[in-house]
Amino acid sequence: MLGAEWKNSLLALLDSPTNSANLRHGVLLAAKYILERRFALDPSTAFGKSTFFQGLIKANVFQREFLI
Amino acid sequence: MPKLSADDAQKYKSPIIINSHIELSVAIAQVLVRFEYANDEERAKLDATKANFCKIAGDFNYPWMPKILGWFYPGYPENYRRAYVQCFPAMARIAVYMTALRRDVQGLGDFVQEILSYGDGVRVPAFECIPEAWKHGGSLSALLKINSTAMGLSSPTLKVVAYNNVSELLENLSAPPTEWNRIFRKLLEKADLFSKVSFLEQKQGTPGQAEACCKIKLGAWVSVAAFSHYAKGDPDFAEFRQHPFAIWSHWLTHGLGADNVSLLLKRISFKYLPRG
Repeated sequence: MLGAEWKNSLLALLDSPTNSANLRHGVLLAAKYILERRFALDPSTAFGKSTFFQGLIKANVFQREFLI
Repeated sequence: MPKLSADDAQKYKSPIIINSHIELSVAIAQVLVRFEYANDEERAKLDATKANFCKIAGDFNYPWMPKILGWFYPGYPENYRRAYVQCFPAMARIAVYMTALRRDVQGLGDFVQEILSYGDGVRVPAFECIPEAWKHGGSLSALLKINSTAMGLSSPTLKVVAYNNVSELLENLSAPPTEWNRIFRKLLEKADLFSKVSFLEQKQGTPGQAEACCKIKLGAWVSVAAFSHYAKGDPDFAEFRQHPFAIWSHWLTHGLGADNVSLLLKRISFKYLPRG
């Protein structure tokens, strides 16, 4: 969770295609849980250069203007 | 966040999915409001991040609830109140966090006024996250006023949340010592209002245990504020010298629903508490 690769796994999880609403719901719940645990583990690295948020934007999962 | 949510909304048309997206946003907002940097450069960067987070929402005004749903589900159905009612608690929470990130205390007040007509399922989650969301900013006076609006309502649960909120806001306050005098003055200005509400409740019946406890807790802050003014030589608090815990005692007695408040306590607290 404290390594750099965890966010790519999370982004891949959010991007995973499915037609099942139940599965999508599970994915979103898991994403929320992972986010909360990640921030609880080490909130100091959540911002700044190469942050998780910037990773999200680069991956274009969220809108580009979401966060810097 | 909105794009992902909008795509999912169109694809699944499921309130559960929308609700999960809103909850995900709440989780991110909770982290953003938690950070306050001493370094000016980092603070500026964080403020820019917060501003960008809020920018996705566009205009943020009345009527709030349909607009919030619109961020996550553009083109939501007209009968959304029935279909998407389960999203309302999360929508209320994200609204409170958004106002905090924008440092828009007026917006928070307007939003609270709007949701007063909703049930406790919406009002309670909104009020519950105020201390956390507004931990690092906002006018204490305005926040006290906002919470006091819930104290006069008939919902016992909401009243407990509002009383606890004020205590938590005071406990979380990271103001320098020079600011405490002003803060205590603001609190004492509101003490009269809190107590009037309490007296009104007393006529309606004895409060429950949770309600009594949160009033006692807040009463301690009122007492500390009064003592602070006495210690600074404020003539209004001269009588506080002999009975420094008189005001808190009044709250204790009243909070527990007893009717034997002594004349002395009444006399001492006369200036700040209404005649019982």
